Amino acid sequence: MKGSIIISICFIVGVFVGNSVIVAETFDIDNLTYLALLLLVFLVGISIGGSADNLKLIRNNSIKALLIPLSTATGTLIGSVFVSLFLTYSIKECMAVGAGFGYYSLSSIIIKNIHSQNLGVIALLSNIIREIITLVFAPVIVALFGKMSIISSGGATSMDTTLPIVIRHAGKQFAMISVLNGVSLTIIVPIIIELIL
Amino acid sequence: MLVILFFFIGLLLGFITKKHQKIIQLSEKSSSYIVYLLVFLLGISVGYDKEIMSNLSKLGLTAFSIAIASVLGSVIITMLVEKLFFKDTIN
Repeated sequence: MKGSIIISICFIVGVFVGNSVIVAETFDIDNLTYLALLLLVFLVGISIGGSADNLKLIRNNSIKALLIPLSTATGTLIGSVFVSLFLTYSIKECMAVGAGFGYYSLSSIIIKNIHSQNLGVIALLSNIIREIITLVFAPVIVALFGKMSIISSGGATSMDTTLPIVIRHAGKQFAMISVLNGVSLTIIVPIIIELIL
Repeated sequence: MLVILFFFIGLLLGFITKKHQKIIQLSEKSSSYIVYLLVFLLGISVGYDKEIMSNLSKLGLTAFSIAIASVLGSVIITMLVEKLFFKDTIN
């Protein structure tokens, strides 16, 4: 939660700066953004590759546990395709936004770079909202859809920001699957977005 | 494609340097600051773009719809998967 508040503040301050100051003309924001993005995925790669626990977890867990990230991804994409029928954006565009799986920072920046600014902003807002929904409505989600559904609702955030919520509302025994879900989705976010768009 | 390449180079490097947890911790810490920088830069380009600024409420509504649909879709499929495959594991 603290993370998403800081992120929201950074975004809002940025909007005000961009709207009032003429910074955007003085230096190349797109280039700087792209370089920072490359650095980010590189560092994220290091932290995933370097945490022995994550890799051991994936190796040791039965194939069955992988059904959860699979159902999270499938369900998210089905939902995105469905909602695209009511929106002015195409199926592909809605799927790409959904395929952020709550990983707002990376997904919004990739989408901005390979598609458009507009869709990048939608991805940022949409994936922040996904995290907030999970944090706020966890008890309702567990009551209506079962214990494992809260892991899916968190998507890629189920390994960090929404993990405490999973433990509280589903139970400690789901922590490992929750981390596995988050790690698997985090890994496929950049790949699946590039494939969709 | 360069994005995926950098990710896998990082993944490999992280795997190799697994013994030096300091490097891992450092990269975790600095990546959150880069995220702040990126979102700040994203904010600047959004604020600078007059077309987006005048459409912000529409973009927000679209974002909200996709978020709700994503959550609903994933919890429904997971509910089915839980009932089919994890009946004995739970409780």
